[in-house]
Amino acid sequence: MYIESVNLSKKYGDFYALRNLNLKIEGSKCVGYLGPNGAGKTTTLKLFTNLLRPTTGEAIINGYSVKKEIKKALKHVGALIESPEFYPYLTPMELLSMACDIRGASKKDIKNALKKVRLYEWRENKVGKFSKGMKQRLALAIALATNPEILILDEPTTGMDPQGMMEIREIIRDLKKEGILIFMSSHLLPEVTYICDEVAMINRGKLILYDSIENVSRKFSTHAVVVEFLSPVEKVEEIEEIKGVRAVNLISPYKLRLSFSGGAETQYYILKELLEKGYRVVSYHSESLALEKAYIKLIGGDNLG
Amino acid sequence: MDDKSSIAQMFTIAKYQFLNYIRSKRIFILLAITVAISVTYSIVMWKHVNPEYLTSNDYISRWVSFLSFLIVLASLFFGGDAIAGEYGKKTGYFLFPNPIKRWSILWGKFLASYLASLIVILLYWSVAIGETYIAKKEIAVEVFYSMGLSFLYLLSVLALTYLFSSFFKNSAISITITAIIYFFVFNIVNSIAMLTGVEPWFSITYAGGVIENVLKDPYPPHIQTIGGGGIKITMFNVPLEMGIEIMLGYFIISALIATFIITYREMK
Repeated sequence: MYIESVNLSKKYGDFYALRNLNLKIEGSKCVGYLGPNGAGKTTTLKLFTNLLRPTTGEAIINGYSVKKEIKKALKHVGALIESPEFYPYLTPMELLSMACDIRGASKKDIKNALKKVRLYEWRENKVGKFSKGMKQRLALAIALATNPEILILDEPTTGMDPQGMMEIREIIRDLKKEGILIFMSSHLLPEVTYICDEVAMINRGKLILYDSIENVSRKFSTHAVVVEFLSPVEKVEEIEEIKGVRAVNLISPYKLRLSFSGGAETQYYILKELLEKGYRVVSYHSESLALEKAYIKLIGGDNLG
Repeated sequence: MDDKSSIAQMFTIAKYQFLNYIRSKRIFILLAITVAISVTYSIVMWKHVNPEYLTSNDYISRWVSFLSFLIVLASLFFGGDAIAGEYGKKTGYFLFPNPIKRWSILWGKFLASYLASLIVILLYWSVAIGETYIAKKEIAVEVFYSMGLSFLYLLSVLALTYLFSSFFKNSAISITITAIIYFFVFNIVNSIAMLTGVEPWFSITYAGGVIENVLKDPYPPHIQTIGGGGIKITMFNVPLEMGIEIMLGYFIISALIATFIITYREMK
């Protein structure tokens, strides 16, 4: 299973919403699709789900062009694009049945899908009374009900409360274990770091990075940690003398920024030394997400979304 | 997962669209309106029309004169927002990313709208025929021709309504503009035709005249000119074949354009 864009472009007048996107995502994994507002993320996902037609190029799913062979291309695809609305007089059970009927899929997993997104109790209620977050959950349930091989998700946690966001993230992480290919746009960097295996970054309609989260972390690691202590630090010099430490910046009496040379081994060694010297460390973490660093470095000059 | 045919998918869409008409009570509202109109008409007919001096066809034609209005109303009720709503209300984000061709969606919805409208029209016809039978103790065969023509008229009006619906994004605008076109524009065109003497062969409401004309014996003349007082008025009565051709033409052309639009229209 794979999705591929070949020279995929979408133009509105003189404006390119997407320009010559070449990207192939294959196998069971979760790929985060990042970029500022208006970068072309939703345009890409709409081109893959037949909501838009490409100006040039092809959106291909499992070898089939979405434009030319929509039924074959979208056969194994579940999608959640933007914040969909539903026929207000139908119930979740009916809407999921409708999605299964359209695809000729078994309805045996409808109840499970509703349970998964915590809408089972609402299964016989009319959707018109649902909140935005509930509709978002319902959209995810519909995408899951037909047991798709590929999931295309456009900012799936939009409009949800923090608990809802957490639950959706856990659902997506669980789905990865089921061997699904997930292509997910988001503007929440920690979300992508938490859920995804790979990341694609786009800006002004152009792909600027596609790599694994691991590689991005390695490349854009800051070699700095922020350390918080239970009591104020009195001897900063003592910390400066620890092997590997290059500089110490005092953020507050309880908080330091340590720059170091070396990799994860050095980072671990510094923490060990701090504890051995009797410092009561309450928090020890990288200064910022590597993904955030990459994002700011690659896109930072533009308006951040 | 089975490969479901596009025709089977069309029937699936029709099924859920019809369910939506039931759940939204849309069909019951129009049925209630139809019953209210039928009861009012029955009372008026009993009190003010003496059936002794009318043939059964003349008697039922008083019922049929209202039918064109009901057909347009049913089309607006069931088709006015059928496609526009998918774009305007964003339900298209749920429906369009499925492995389904857009024409299956359009024709599935059309089928449900036609069926729902047909139920309403059949109710009206049932009351009209029943009341006529009570009054005249006979129903002429022309009534069933008229009924068949009303079904054809519904087909063409609904197709044109779907064409307008596929153009617009906002459901309310789609319904309002379509209503204005049916109730004002086509009537103005027909009035202008009377004064200018140009036959309105391009008017769907002109073609709809066959539903009533077919009940008249003899069939009214194609063109009648009335003059006097410096004004010449030309009365056009659409011939049966021409009426059928215009209705079929409207159906085929509107259906083709609507199918083309929905196939290529994007969900921006």
